[in-house]
Amino acid sequence: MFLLQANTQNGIPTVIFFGTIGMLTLAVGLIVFIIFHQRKVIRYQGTLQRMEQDQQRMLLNASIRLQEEERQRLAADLHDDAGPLLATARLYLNENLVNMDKASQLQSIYNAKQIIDDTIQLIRNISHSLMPPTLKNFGLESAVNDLFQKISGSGSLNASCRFHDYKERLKTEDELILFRVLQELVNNILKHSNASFIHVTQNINGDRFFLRLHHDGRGLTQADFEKLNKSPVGLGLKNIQSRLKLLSGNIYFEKDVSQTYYKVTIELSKEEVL
Amino acid sequence: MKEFLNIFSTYSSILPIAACLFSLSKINRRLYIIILYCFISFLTDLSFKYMHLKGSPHLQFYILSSFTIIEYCVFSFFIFRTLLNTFLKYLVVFISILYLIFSIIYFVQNRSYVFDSLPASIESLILIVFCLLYFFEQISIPTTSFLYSNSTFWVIIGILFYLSGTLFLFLYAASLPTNEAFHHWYINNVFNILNKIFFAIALILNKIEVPDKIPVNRQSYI
Repeated sequence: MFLLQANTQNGIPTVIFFGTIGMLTLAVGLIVFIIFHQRKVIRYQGTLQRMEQDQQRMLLNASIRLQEEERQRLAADLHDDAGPLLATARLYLNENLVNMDKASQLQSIYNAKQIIDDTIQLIRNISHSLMPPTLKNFGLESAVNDLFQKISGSGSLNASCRFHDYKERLKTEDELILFRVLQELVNNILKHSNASFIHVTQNINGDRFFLRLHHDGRGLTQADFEKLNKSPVGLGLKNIQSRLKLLSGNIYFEKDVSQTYYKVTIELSKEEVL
Repeated sequence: MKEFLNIFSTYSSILPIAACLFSLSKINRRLYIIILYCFISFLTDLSFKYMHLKGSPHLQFYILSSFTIIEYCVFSFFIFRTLLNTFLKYLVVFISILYLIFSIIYFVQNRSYVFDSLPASIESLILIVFCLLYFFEQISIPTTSFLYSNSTFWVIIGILFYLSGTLFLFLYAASLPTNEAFHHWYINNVFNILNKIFFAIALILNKIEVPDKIPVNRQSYI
């Protein structure tokens, strides 16, 4: 009651004066806080969005570059290998062949046949590199086994695989993506890691599909992978990520607790691939 | 000066109505109730002045008490329509029912015919809390547009400023002698003008606002 009776210089009771000022200050403070907070959140979201867009752009560039490289390789194979072979075969089968003696004719035809056989083999190899027939006909497990047998056959390192829960094949296009990812990983190991063994295991845990690759060479950790992924180099790794993105999958690079080998885990949703 | 504020406060209700006339075809349906409020507020102010001149305190009391209830209904309905979270909506409805029961009982039983200080103060407090709920909800929802580009924000600001500014006046109005209370009524006038200016901004902004339809995925933020 005293506060109500006490007046300010304007004649307003002190309690009303200070109460109103206090409430206004709180209201203004609240509004200013909310506006600044929201601006901060929006700015943060914008930065995140830009980073994501950059990442997407890099992945897209990597995928386009890969496609171009693949096309160039195909063009080179066809132009440099198949082209000269067919041109040589054509030389053997020229118009003068009819004027030659029988023995020369037979020799020319035999040579041309040999060259055409080589060309057929070459084209088959190119075709197999595009879509391995083992993968198409027998599935991922057989294709990986096939690949690893070839690698082990070279004698430089021991490659093996074990598929624990692969009674049911994945969709063909998903198998191809996984195979390409494994090929890229194995290729990197062969090129950079100096490993003596590669071992791949597959299993299913709940609704997750796992492929794990172990090797004892120099490898990558998750931090290295993310760093390389954000830099303009590391085209292969970007391709791995963009391929796995198609399957909504994840990849983790880690060094084993024993510090003796590196582990790469590919994790997919079972629903997504089966 | 106080007389000027009094007149300007009465006619300030025309500001949002005029702003609405500029953008009538594109007006957000949620804002119709604010226009209705401005219209009622204008009529109330005029009739209050008329009763004051005629010297009928009973009628003045009835006008002010009815206006408090109408004002509460309008603002709480607007906030109810604005909130997205179902739990908060139910909370608004529940508190509103309790408040309306209390105000109607107060209105019927009060025979002192002085300013309805208690219902007006409780109204202010409840609506301030509702405004805080609105802000809480807004900062919880990830959005890419700025809050102040939305007309609803300006309506809520108008409500918040008006109720915060007049809370202590309403709270102590009944404790002050009638003449003194009228003497300090210019505080209400100042905040009423501010309130109507904010409402007018909301209605002008509404012209360039995006749709009132809320994406479904925004509904499950809590």
